[in-house]
Amino acid sequence: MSEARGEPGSGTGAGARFFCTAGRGLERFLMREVRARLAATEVEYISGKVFFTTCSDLNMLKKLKSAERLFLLIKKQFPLISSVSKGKLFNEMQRLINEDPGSWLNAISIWKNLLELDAKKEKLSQRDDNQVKRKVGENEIIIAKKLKIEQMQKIEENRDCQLEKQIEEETLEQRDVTTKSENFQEEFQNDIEKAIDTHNQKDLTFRVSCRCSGTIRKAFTAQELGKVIGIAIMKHFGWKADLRNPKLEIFIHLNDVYSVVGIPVFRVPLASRAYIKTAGLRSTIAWAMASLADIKAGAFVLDPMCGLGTILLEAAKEWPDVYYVGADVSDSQLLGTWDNLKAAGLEDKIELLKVSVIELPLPSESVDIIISDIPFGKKFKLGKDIKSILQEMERVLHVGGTIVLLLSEDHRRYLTDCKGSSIPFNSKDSHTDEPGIKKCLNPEEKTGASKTVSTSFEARNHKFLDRMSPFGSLVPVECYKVSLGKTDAFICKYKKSHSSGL
Amino acid sequence: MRLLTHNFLKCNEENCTGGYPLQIKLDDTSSENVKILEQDFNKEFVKNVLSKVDYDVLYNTAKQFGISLLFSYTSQHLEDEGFLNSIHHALFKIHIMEGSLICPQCHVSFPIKDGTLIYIYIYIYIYIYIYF
Repeated sequence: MSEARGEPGSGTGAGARFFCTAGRGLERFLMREVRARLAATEVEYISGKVFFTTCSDLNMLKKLKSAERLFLLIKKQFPLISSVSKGKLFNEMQRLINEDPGSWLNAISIWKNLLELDAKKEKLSQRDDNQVKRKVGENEIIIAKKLKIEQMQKIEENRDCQLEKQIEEETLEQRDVTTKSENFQEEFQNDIEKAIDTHNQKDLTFRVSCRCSGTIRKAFTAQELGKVIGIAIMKHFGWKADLRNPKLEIFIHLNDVYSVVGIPVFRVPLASRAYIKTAGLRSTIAWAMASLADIKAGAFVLDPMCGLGTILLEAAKEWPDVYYVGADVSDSQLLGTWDNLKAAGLEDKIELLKVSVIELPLPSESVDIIISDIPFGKKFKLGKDIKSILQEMERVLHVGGTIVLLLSEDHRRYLTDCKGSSIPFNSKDSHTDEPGIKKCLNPEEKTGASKTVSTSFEARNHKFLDRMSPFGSLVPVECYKVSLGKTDAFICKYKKSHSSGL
Repeated sequence: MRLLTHNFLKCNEENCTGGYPLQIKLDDTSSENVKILEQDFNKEFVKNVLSKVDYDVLYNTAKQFGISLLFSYTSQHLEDEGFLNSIHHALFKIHIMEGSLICPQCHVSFPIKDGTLIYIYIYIYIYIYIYF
């Protein structure tokens, strides 16, 4: 059952169907983001991918921050049954390709339109270039034949290094499709539109990118399947395969839950940001953390262990009218952050200090928001223990302020235990703790709570030694488990409910 | 380091009972110890930030850099772009590049190198001189 949708025509008309890959745990953030940023409809999330429909153009799609890669959906259907014979499976795969060619051509034309619209917008910003009008005359004959190829080349190259000639040829093409009132273009308009259609099938070269997971992976390799699909496409559509420099890339993902076919919209994954020179934390997770922190205009946001500044960069790009301060004890990290800030053009938004997180030279209750990635101890050593770090963070935070932390499993368990110890001493906290724990998506949380009861005696002793619970005023709000690739971590949000100094 | 940041900094030494504000001492040996860097002016942002800073401290600190702000302001001034521009200049555009911050109470001094404040406690170095 295919669900491909879309309409040819300018832009995406009534909306095209896309899907994004997302890191495990970030799907929620991505769904929220597509709804907010792209006014997406029919948003669904299935096992690591978020599907949605939107009318947005490339500019808006480019801004997605919690997705890994973006694809135009060609087909999504029930999973292939891998338990049948090879022959039958290959037949099924061929059916996947051959059935409903309209969905393929639709998706390709939407893709083309998106890129054309985008190139046109870029051209509009360069409209003052007089050379365009002169050179146009020379190239008009070549245009009709090379139209498609030039456009594809443009997609592949980084726009900044585009050759002038190509820009001009495209702009010629854009004006045709969008019927702008450039007189010397109109007479070629019809010819070129025809050219686009006829050359669609002939000049296209493609490559298949096949990913398999689940049971099908045990029976066949991705290369095998990719080859079969490639041959089926060649037979059915007549395109040529080009493994090194294809114009069109077809992405296929087969697993136990679905079979999905799509076209990557951008060559470079959305997760690799143009404005971040050296990434520390994964940019998608950094953005997700910042999105939880309730950043408002005029706020004072601190990252006391900023490392290479990834979190601050993501936050400053999205919420610019905010005062950001980053701190770290390492010279090399600060230098790296400074490099990143300069490369991103954000040096005027973010202030850097070489200070230690357990001795912040800030008065109590002066910071609105703290967002930080607590070192797990694998790559960077946590010289001080997490308790003193959190104590200092709690001290400088305003009442009602927000803390969003990225914690390892161990740290999170430690903090939950510490909170558990505060329950018998502060009934108000115990009420607010419960909903916080329930909200946690980690199903182990319940058993964690029962563990703390048994250790509460030790915890009480521990407490007597410290006069009062160090995190008494930090109330957990939300907690999300996310994947960092090899390990898992937790994005935890806390709010300061009352002053800790009593 | 901007004056905005200086406005928030407070001495955190254990026995210090509250060194605020930290005194700014510029490094006279350096040729460019203060830089004026451009920054986009955003009216709402400046108003927001202004509500958070200690205005008296800002007034005195700005004086040190030759900026004379209004001694005090009313809500009417918040709509005056000239006033907001002067605040914007004082808070955001002045960058201390080389110098140090000194606590008025315990007199501990923290360097600012290349625009970045280094506020890390340096514990005791023991130098042993052996005389023959």
